[in-house]
Amino acid sequence: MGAGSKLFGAVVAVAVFLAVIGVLLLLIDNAPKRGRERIQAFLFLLPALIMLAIGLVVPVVRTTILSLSNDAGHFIGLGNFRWIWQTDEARKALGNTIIWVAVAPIAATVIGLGYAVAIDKARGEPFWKALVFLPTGISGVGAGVIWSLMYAQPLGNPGHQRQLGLVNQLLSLVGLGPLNFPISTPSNTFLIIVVMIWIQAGFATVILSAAIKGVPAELTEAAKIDGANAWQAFRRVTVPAIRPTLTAVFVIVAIATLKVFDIVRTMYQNQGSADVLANLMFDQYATSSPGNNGANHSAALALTIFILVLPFMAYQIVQMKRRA
Amino acid sequence: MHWKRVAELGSAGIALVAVIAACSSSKKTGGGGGQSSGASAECASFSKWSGHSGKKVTMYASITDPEGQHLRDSWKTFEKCTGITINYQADKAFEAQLKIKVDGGNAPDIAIIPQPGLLANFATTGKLKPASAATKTEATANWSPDWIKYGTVNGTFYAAPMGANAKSFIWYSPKAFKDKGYTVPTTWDELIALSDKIVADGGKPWCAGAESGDATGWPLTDWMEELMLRMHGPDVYDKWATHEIPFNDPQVADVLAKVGQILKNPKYVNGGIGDVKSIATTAFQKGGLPIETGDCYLHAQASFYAANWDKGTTVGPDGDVFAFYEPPVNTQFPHPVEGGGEFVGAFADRPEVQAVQEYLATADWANSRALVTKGSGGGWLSANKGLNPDNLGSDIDKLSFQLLTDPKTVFRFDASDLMPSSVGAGSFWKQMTQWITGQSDQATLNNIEKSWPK
Repeated sequence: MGAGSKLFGAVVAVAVFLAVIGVLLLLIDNAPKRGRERIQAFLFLLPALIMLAIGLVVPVVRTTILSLSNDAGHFIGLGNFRWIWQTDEARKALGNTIIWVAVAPIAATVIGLGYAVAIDKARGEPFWKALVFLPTGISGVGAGVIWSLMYAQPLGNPGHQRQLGLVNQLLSLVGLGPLNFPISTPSNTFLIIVVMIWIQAGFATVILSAAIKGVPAELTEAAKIDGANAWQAFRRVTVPAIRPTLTAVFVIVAIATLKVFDIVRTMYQNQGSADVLANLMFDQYATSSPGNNGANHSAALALTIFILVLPFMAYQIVQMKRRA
Repeated sequence: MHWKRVAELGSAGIALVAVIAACSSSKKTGGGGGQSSGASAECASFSKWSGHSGKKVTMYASITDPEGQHLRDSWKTFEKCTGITINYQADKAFEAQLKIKVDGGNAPDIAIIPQPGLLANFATTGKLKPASAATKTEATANWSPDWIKYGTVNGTFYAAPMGANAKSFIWYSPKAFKDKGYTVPTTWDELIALSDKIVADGGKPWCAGAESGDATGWPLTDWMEELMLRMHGPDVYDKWATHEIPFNDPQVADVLAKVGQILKNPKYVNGGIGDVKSIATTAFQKGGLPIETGDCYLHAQASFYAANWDKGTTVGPDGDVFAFYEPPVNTQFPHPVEGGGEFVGAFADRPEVQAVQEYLATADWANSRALVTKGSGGGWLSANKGLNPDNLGSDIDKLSFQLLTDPKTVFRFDASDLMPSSVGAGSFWKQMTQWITGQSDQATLNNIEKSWPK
């Protein structure tokens, strides 16, 4: 196809787009007076609805169908979900994901809150905030590579050493011997979680710091006049005042944790013991071959992640409604 | 009122047209100019592929720069003389991305596939197009039947081989061997005797590394394949690769036990690196480097390991490092060679695509490709019989070529590349990694057997 016909195609596409919009606008304008607003609202929402249907609803339906069938296209009920439950590596990934969700969101939120309080109104606050916020700007892959180097095991005999990670260097100083990071179960999972916390704590700090600044000073002052010490003022006044923000931060980090892929993909080196659901999902798809239902297992894993995310979403929506 | 809004939308639309036009017109020169300039003798041998001037062929592969650039350089004359443009794209995540591209309907015209197993997947699902008769003729003239077999699925020939590597090598230091009075072993028993001698001299004979990102574990699967070929021969090897015998068959268990005698022997490994488990976490690129410092003496790895030695290390029969042929275990199977390579598969059958496929199967192309790397010390070879060994750039390339094309050689392709990818690029790698970190032989083989697609 030459450049000329491509240009022609583009012109036609834009012309069709404009024509559709034009007709839509005319229709809206000439809609019957009764119930006009509703029709207007519907027509304006229509393009977005169509996009949502193509981009979200269709894939969800397709994934659901895939997850309930085998790779020949026959319906096999919950067979793929049974596979998750009966396969060692999938069970391991599920268990690790649960550890992730139990540790990372709480740790990131608590550390973020602690840090935000500690630097609040301190000298050079923007600097301290930037320091902890910077990792949030680093991609998961970048962070994974950086921390893999930090955890790297020694290679080479003393005198000919080729690499030695900082963490192992520090461990050797206190006599805890080198740690063979990627294969030291279960500490490998926790060591990768550290990276997630490192990334998310900065995000939590910035949001929570802003929320703390929003708490009226009169409230904390009143508490202090009534004889509360700093901890009591924090515990009984500040925390309740920023609770909506706290839950939002927690939920956002929890959902990011459930879907974590890049950090694990970069760091765990296919070693089988630190896997998580999202990575297994990709693996199953990428290595699927005729007859092993890899794509179907992958779809079942995707739905499992979706189901695990739901309670967090529901919790967040309930919180939002309560406030409204 | 609303006409104003329509006018605004209109102007936005015009801006959009301008942007799209700018994008699509930026690449307006296709091929065209080639033919007139090179009507000389240089182009004579390309005349059979004429008539496709201005056509484009997309190609997708896992071969990234600098080898990717070498590849592009190797077909420059072809492009110039035929007017066909090859749009080459390389991706380290090739295997997974190719599947996504094909499933999503964006298959490249040509894919350079290093796994016959993956090739067979695309062929059996009907995505791959059979090779043209001309390509088949060219390929069968240039490669041994062992190689042609791996480009054939259910009796149909799909893809000609391209590059190759020989795996059956053990790297060592000729200098260190000379200093210590060690000799290159020619049988497996001699190899074990040598290892024991090195232990008695206070050294650690073997070093290995199996970490390779997503592909962690593959160097261990190579160990099993080499010994399978040496202990039980090519027929059992083929049955094992195609699952005619189960993965936990006693013959397979024999092989794994023999691998364990070296790799799981704390006296033998992991020279210059650490304990047995350190094999799992040492990058395969670094697994052999302790040979340079005399902390290790033997490292089993393919010809392509030559690229990993530190700068200033001379690779050659009298140099700092070189490789010897991994010796046979018994006299029944005296000269097996395991290797790997790539295959040129096509997802389209337009004439220009078939022309490119045919050209890449010729001896002319193989020699052109070899000459591109000759200047930079080699690192590329093919099992194409028409390749002139003088065009190869290094001693190890020449030795590999000699090994691959030796009439005595019984060649077998890397078995993990033949197996379904859920095993060959999945459970086999993962379970061998578990094995080296402590899992028992039987559990390892049972787990792989369980994962084989039904």
